[in-house]
This record gives sequence, C-alpha cells and structure tokens, in this order.
Amino acid sequence: MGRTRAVLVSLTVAAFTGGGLLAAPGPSADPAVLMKARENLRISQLTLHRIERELEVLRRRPQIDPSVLADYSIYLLRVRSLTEAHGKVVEAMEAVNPQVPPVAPAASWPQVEPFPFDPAIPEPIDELSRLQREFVASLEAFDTFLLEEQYKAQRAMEDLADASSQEMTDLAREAAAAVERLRAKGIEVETGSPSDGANGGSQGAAGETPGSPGAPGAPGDATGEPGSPEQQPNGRPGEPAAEGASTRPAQDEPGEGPTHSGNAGDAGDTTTGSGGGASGSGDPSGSPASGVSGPAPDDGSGPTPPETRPPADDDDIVARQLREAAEKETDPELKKKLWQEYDRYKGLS
Amino acid sequence: MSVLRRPRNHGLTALIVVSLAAGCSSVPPGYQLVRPTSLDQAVQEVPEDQLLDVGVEISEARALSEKQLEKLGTNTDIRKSECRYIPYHLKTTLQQSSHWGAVQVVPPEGEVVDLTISSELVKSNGEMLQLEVNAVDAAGRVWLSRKYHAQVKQGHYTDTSQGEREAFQDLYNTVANDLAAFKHTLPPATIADIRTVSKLQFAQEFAPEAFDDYLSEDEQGLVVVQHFPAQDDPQMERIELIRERDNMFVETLNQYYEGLYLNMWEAYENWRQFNLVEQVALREAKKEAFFRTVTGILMVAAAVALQVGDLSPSVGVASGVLLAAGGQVIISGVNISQQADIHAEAIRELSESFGAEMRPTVLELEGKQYELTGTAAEQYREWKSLMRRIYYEETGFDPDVTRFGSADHAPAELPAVR
Repeated sequence: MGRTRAVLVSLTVAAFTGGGLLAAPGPSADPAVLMKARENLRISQLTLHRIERELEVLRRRPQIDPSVLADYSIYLLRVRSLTEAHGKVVEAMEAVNPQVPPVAPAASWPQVEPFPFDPAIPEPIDELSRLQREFVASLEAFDTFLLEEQYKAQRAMEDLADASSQEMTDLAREAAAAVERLRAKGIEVETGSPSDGANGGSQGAAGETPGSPGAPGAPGDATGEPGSPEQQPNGRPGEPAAEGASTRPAQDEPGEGPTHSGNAGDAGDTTTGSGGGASGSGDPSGSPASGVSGPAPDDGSGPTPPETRPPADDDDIVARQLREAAEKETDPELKKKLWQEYDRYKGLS
Repeated sequence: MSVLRRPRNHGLTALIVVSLAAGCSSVPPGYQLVRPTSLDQAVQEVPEDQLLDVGVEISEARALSEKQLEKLGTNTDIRKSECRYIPYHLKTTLQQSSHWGAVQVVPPEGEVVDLTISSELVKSNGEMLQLEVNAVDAAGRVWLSRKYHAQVKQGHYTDTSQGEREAFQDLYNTVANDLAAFKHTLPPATIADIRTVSKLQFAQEFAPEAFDDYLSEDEQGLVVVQHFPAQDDPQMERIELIRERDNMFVETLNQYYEGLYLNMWEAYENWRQFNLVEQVALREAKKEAFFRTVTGILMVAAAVALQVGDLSPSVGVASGVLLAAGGQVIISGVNISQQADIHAEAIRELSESFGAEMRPTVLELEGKQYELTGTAAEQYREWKSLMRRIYYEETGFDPDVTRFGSADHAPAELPAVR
C-alpha cells in the first residue's frame, strides 16, 4: 500500500510540474519550475478556499438536496487532495532551491471577492417535486414520440397516395396503349366520359361499326334508367354485343353483370346515373373525332394545343388519369409524352 | 328400410331445390335481416356531458373450415383485412351520426372507454355480410348483443363513396341506429355516470392505491361510483394528463388503421363486387345444371316407362324422341355444370389474388401496432410506477402496506400492463 501511494504521489507531482520531474531523478532546481509550481499551489489553494465557502453556504440552505451536498463534498475533497499534492511538490523544490525566496503565506493573499454565491444548480427540491418533474418530463417525451409517429403515419399516407397515383398513371398508360393496339386492328373504342350517356351509350357503342362517327347525343334525363331501344339502336343493356367491335363487356341484365363506372346498376336503384338515353356512341357532343378509327399517326407534331382540347368533363377514367398525370408532371419531355398519349387515346391527334 | 329411405331422399331433394332456389337469401336463425336503413343522425348538438366516447375494437373472425371459406369464396388473408376494415367503417358511420364523442378503433380489450363495441365477423363474400356485434358500457351494461345478416345486389356497389358509404351501409347504419336508440333510453344522469365510471376505471388502472375505493358493484353487477374525486385532486389531474396522452396514442394508431382502410377500399370493393357476380353466376349455373339434369333424367325415365307400357310403333317413336331429348337435356346440364366450375375457379383466383395483395399491408400494420403498443405499454408502466411513488410522497402511506396489509405481501412487480 505504501509503495503504491508513493508512486501515486510521484505521478501527481510529475503531472503538476509539467512532466519535468518524470525525467529528472529528483526535484528540479530550476527556479522557473519552482515558480510555476508555486503558482499552481496558489491557484489550488484559492480554488479550495472558494469551494469550502460555497459548501458552507449550501449547508446553510434549509432544504438542500442531500445528493447536491454529497457531490459538492466530493468536489471539495478532490481539490483538497490536489492542493496537498501541489504543496508537497513546492516543498520538495524549495528544499533544493533554498536561494529562491518563499512566497507570502496564504493568509496574506488577496482575498477573493466576497462572492454572492449563486451556484448554477437547481433549486433545492423535495422528493415529491422531483417526481413531479420526472412525470412532466416523461409526458413531454411521450408527446414527442407521438408527434413523430403521427408525422410518420402522415408520411406513410402521402407515400401511399403517391405510389397509388403513379400506379394508376401506369395503368392508364397501359390501357391507352392497349386501346391504340385495338385501333390499329380497326376496332373502335369509346373513350368518352361514361357519365355522359353511359348507361345506354356505352352499350350502344357495342354494336357500332368500327370507324363510324358517333351519333349526335341527346341530353341525359338523369333518371339512371337504361336507355330505350329507340335511343340506342345498336344495343341495349342485357344484349350481347353485336358482331364485331365491342370492347366493353355486355351485362346479362342490369345489376347482375360486372359494372363499370356509369353503367346501369339495378334498374331504378342508381342515383348517380345521368342520362341513360344519350347517344349510342356515348359521345354527347357527337364529335366525329370520337368515331375516328385506327391509331392516330404519331407525326411528331406534338400534343394538341391546350385550348383546342375538349373539356375534361368528357374524359373517361383512363383519359382523366392521363390528363392529371400530364398536368402534374414537371419534366417537360415526360409531360409532352403524357399529353401525346392523352391526345391519341382521346383520338385528338 | 327402403320404404323409409324414399321420403328422406325426397326431402333431401326438396331441400336442395329450395336452397338452390333461395341462394344465399335465407337468414340463419338468430340473425336480424338488415333492411334498407338510413342513418339516424342527431338533429341537434349533443351536450358535452352527454357525449360518450366509443372504442370500436378490431373485429375477430370466426374460425371457418377450409371448405366453408372456399364456399364463401374467401380466405384467411381477406378476413384478416376485413377485421380491420369493418370496425373502421363502423367508426366513420358512428361519427357521421353525431351522437357520440370521440370514436376510435382500438385493439381488442385494450382501452378503457365509455362504450366498447366488439364484433365478430361470421361470413362475408361481397354478396352477404354476417356480423355479430356486442356493445358494453364502462359500467358493464350491455347495450347490444345482436347478429346481423345483410345481403346486397350489384346495384349497391354503384352508390358507394370512399370512407363514407359502402355496399353494406345498411348494416352499419342499423348498428349505429340500434346504439343510438339504446342511448336514448338512458337518463342523462346515467350517461354522466358512465363517463365518470370510465374516468375512474382509467384512474384505477394507473393509480390503484389512490382510487381503489371509488367504484363498487351494485346488486345487478353494474359498476357504480362510490364517491367522486375532489375537483382539485392533484392525482386525478395527473391521471387526466395521462389520459390525454392515451387518447393521442389511440389517435396515432387510428392514423395507421385509416391508412389500411383507405388503401384497401378500392381493391376490397372490386373483390366483393366480382365475387358477388361470380357467386350469383355460380349459383345460377348450379341451379340450371341441376334442373336440366333432373329434367333429362325424368324425360329418359318417362321414355323408358312408355316403352315398357306400350309397344305400339307410334309410342315407340315418341319414346325414342323423348329419350333423345332427355339425353340432350342431360348433356346440356353437364355442360352448364362445367360452366359452374369455371365460375368457382374464378372465385378462387380472385380471392387468392386479393388475399395476396392485402397480406403484406396487414402484416405491416400488425407490426406497427405491436411496436406502438409496446412503446406505450413501457411508458404506461413507468407512469404507474411514478403515480405509486407520488402517492407515497403525498400521503406518507406506503402503497404496498396500505394495499396489501404489509409490504411483505406486496407483489414483486406491478400488475401487467395492457
């Protein structure tokens, strides 16, 4: 134990004398080193003095947290040990440098400013207050956790919407490409809005001759009833498509077959149907464009100017998706391509 | 024995004919057939102290055999997603009714709320929905314990609106209306008591030492309030702060539930719609095949009977024609039966495809739910411990001693948290 202690003292002395003593066999005789050691001792003593006074002030406080006192006491003890170590170093050096006059005793040192001690430590608190603080802190931490989770959930929803949007655009483009292939084979495909004369119109389109222009559309009566045979000479709900050209599956009867947006559901049950008896082609405008057969040649002339495009009301879901994607797209090349696909799908180019 | 068997066979045949003709329209015993029902909405704003918070638990799916699932045209993946979709849609319907306070979907048996709704999904295939619904308030009063059976046609799928109105809306409206009707039978004081009971139950869960004797059971087994906490009870104030966080936590969970609900809406509707079409077609094909086969057999039997009874040439010709026609009818029946197989295959493929589409999403949600509830449970454990220590500091009573007589009898750990 004694040997270990001696080694520790030597190391401490070495450390506080800048390491010079490690190399030397004994205390340095250099007056400059002695002066530096004395300065260190002086600072140590001042520090020790300050801490003693601070601790005294703390002890006088009525409701001091015992853990604070304990920590301050440890602080004091350690600094006291340091001061003692510095004292021993100076003592050893002065023994080999008797010609260097000793410094004035500590008592004559200038006093540190009487300090208005206000240590930066929390107000003394009792156990209840400490628990209350802990509780509030845990509430705040949980709030932060929940906010982060809500943000993640929101992001997940947005990602979902983005992915869904992209997926739908891809589907629309594939659908449009399929329509082009059908047109290339001479099969006309209706691309108008199913809500405009769709109930009768979409079925009526089934029997149309490929390439024939759409018949002028009659305004829908908004009853949701299937179109009358007079209004749709080429087909009616429940009838299979005439030979040739239907690209939409006919329903066995209203309300039984797979429905498409705007088709008749159960007769009389549909509240959203608009104008069962519209044009046979489903194109209320009767625009010849809707009857154009075959794929539109891509002559590289670019998409149709916006002002000449028909309103979006006439778009079916594929056209709507393409239009939305084109409108949102920021890449000019892709935007142009999407508009071209839209125009080709709509038979505008 | 053969004499006894004959009428049984006839009875069986009649049963088959009736069931084929009826399709799925028959309502099982104990089920309430859902009629077209509009939602009963509150005509005027419900006062704050009369608003009950509702927790709609994630549904349980009744265990069905593989054969039953196949017959329904569904599978376990689909039913798992439905168990999250159905409570969420019931939540939106209850919210639309404006009779309630906060309505949230909650994990099973996980939350203390004024009114808890649990449900068991019995059958669902797009054409039919069978649901058993139970609703119990915080005091233990049973509001509802009913089995609903709803059937739709394809027209019901044309008037849907994501998050608001779906094909089986009549069922959801009926459940919501039944709950609202029961609420109207309760005096305002009872509703206020339910709110207090759930508040104190929550407090008991977090600080049992402080609130243990605030509630008791009456002779009917209902939980009643023994005494109310003081207005400025600091422990209750802390509990209220925790409850706010608990509500926020449930809201966060609901954001994820909503994600799944909205995500699956379109695909689920498509699956149900096409399943309905195929189910109807399958049933029609089976019925047609059955009748044709029976008719053909009868015609053949009649031809044979004619030949046995009369051997004149004219009867012989008629018998031959009848025999040939009967054979043709039987063959057509077999052909239609093959069409039925095609429909059955389509149903299977549709279900597999939709189930596979939903599986990862449901798994992801389950993982998230597990993660969130795990974190929350950890936090709740900490709060329970804090409440316990604070109680000790405030009262000077050692909770273990006061509650268990002596600290030696106290449990080593706090009771398990939700």
